Amino acid sequence: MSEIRLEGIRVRYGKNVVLKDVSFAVGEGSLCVITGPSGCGKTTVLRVIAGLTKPEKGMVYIGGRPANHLSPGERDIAMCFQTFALYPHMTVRENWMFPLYAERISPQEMQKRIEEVTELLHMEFLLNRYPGQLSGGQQQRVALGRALVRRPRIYLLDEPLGNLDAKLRVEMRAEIRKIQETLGITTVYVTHDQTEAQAVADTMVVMDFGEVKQVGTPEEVYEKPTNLFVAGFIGTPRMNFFPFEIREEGEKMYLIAPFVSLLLGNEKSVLFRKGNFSSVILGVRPENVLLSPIPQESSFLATLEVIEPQSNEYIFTLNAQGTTFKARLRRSVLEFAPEVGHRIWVRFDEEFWHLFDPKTERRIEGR
Amino acid sequence: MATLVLEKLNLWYGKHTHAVRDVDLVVEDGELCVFLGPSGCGKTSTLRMIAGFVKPTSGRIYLDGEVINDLYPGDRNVAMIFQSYALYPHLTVRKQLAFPLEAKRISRQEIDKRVEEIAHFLHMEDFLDRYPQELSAGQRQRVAMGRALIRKPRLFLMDEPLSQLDARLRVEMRASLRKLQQELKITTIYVTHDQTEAQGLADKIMVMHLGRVQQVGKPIEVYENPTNLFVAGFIGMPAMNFLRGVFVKGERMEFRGNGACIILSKTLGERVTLLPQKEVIVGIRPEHLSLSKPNREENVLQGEVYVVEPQSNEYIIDLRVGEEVVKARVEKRELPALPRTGEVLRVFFEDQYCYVFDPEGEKRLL
Repeated sequence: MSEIRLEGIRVRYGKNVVLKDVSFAVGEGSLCVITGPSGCGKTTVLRVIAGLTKPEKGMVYIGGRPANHLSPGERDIAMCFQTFALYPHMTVRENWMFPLYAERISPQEMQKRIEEVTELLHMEFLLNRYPGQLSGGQQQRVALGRALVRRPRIYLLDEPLGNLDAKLRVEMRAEIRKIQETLGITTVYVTHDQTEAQAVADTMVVMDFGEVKQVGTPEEVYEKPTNLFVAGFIGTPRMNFFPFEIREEGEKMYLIAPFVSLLLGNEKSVLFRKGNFSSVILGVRPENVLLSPIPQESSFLATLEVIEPQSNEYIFTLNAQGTTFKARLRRSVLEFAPEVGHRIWVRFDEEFWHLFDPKTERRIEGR
Repeated sequence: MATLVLEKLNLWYGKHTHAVRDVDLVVEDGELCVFLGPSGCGKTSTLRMIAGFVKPTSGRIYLDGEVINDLYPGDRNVAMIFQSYALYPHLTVRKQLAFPLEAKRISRQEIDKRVEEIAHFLHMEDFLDRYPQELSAGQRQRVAMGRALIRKPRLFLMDEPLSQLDARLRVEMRASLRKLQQELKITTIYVTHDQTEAQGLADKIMVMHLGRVQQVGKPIEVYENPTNLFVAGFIGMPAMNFLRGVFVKGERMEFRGNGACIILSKTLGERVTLLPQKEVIVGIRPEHLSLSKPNREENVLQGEVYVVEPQSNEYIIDLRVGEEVVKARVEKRELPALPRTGEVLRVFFEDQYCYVFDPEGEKRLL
C-alpha cells in the first residue's frame, strides 16, 4: 500500500507561489520522474511528499490515506540526494548499518538485509572500503544502498546522478531502473535532464513555473506533447517551431510562411475550420525534417549553415530565408555529401507534425 | 591567421607528475581543434602551455613558424575565453569591447571605429548599450568573443566555454559557436571533456588520456576508426559494448566469451583468421545493433531484455548476453511492440561494424 496521490497542492515561500495546484498520482511499485527546468518546483514537490514542506493547500495521500499530518519519520520514506552524504570515516558496511541501528533492528536481520543489498548492487568486494576509496559510481551505489536497507515503502531520489560524468550517468540510470523494477518500491525521481527522465520513467511529470504541464509515459510525452512548453522541453536538439498563417483559397487551405506554402489535407482543413484558426504554430522535431538533393512535393530550399557530426548521425543547422532550424539524420541515409553553404531541399514529414494554437499554446488535436 | 605546431611537448609538475607526454600536433590556419579527454588527461595543461601560463619542461610550440616558448602570455597575441566568459558586470557591451583597446593606448576614434566594426560583424548593434545581466547566454557569448576578437588575436583558446550552461542551451550555443568560428576563420583550440560537444564542433579532435595523445583526426574518423580501446570507448554514447573472449574455429568461425557466443559471417570469419591472436576484445556500438530476423544466424547476439530506456525516437535496450550486458539503440518504428523484461531478443551487426582490440596493448586489430 504505497501509491502516492497529490491533489491540488499549493506551496508558498513568502510571496512566491512555488507550487500552484499540483495534482498527479504515482501507482504502487512504479517509478515516476518529475522533470523540468531549474526553479520549476520539482524538488519542492519531493519535499512535500517527504513531509519536509507543508503545503498551504491540497492533500497528500500515501497508500490511499491522507498523510498531511504525518511527520517525515512516520511516512516510511527513504531519500537519496545528489550529494551522496556518506560518512567518510565509516566503511560501506558501516554506512549501511547506521540507519538500522537507529531503528533497533536485530543483528541477524541486519546481516540479512546487508547481504541482500550487497548482492543487488554488486558490492561484494567493496564492503570494507571507505567512501574515499570508491569511484563516483560506487559511491552512488552506497548511497542508494543506505536508503534501500531500511526497506522503505517509498523511495525519493533528488538528482541522484547529478554528480556523475555523462558516461557513468548513462550506465547508472539503467542500473537504477533495474533495481527499482526488481524491488518494486514506489519511487519518485527528480531530474532536470529530460534524457534521463525519458530513460527511467514509467510516468513522467513535466513541470514549469510551479505547474504540472503534462503527465504521461515517456512515449506519450515525446510523441504527443500537449502544449508548446513540453514540446520544446522534451527531445534534443529541441523541436523546431514555425509560425504559419492559415489561408483559404476556394476549397483549398494552405499554411503560409515566408519560405514555404503547404497545402493541407482534408482532415487538417476541417480541424482548422472548426477551431476557427487564422494562424498556427507547426512543431517539427529535427529527426522528422527530411532532406533531399532534388525537389519533392511541399519541399523548399534551405542553406546548410552548420554541420555537426554526432556518432552515426549529423545535426544540421539550416536557414530558409532567415528562418533557422535543425535537422537530425543518420549518415547512412544521406543522399548527398553535406557542405557548409550548400542549398538543399527540405520537407517536413507530415506524419510527425505537431500543431499548436498560438494563443493558448495548446496542442491542436482532431478526434 | 596562424598555424600552430606542437613538437614533442612535455610537462612535469614537480618530480612525480608527468602531466603531458610527447605531444605532437599540427593545427592548420583557421581550423578548430578540440582537445578531448577525461579530467586529468593533460588537455588543459597543454592549453596552458600554448597560452604561456606554464612553460613546457621540454619540446617546442610554434606559431606561424616562430618558436613562442619564451614569450610572455601578453606577447603571444592569443585570446583566451573562459568558462564564465568573465564579463565585467558594471560595463555596457560597448565598454566591454573597448576595454582591451584602452589598455593599449589606442586613439579614441580608432577605438570607436573598431567597436562599431566588431559589433556589426557579430550582429551586436542592437545591444551595445546593455549590461551583461540584460543579455541572453548567446549574446554574452558573442560579447566575450567580440572582446577577444577586437585585439585581432592570432589564436583563440577556449577552456570548456559551454560547461556552465544547461544541456539544452549547450546544444544551441555549440552550433552558434561553430558558425561564428567558421565566419571568423580564426585558428581555435577548444578544450572539453564532453565527446558530444567535441564531435559537433571540431574540424580536428585530439583525444588525450594519461598525458598522451591517443588519436588525432576528424570527428567522423575518430568515431568510425578509433585506433585503440580507449578512444573507441570514449567516443560515442552510450559507449561501445566490449566483449572479452576468443575466436574459435568450429564448423564456422565463432566468438566466445563469458557466456556470449557469436557465429561470424564468412567474410568476417576470414578477416579474423588473419589476426595474429585469438584472445581479443570485440567492440560493437549500440547504434550498430539492429533487430534481427529469426532465421538469421550470422553476426547475431541473443539475449534477455534486461532494461528498456525510451529515448526520443529510439529505445536503448540492455540485453543480458551470457554474463555481459550489451546495449542496443533501436528506432522505435523498428520494433513491433515494446520489449518486455525477460523477453528474448536477437540483434545483429554488419561486418564493417565489428571492431577487434588486443586486450594487452589495447591497440585496434580489426
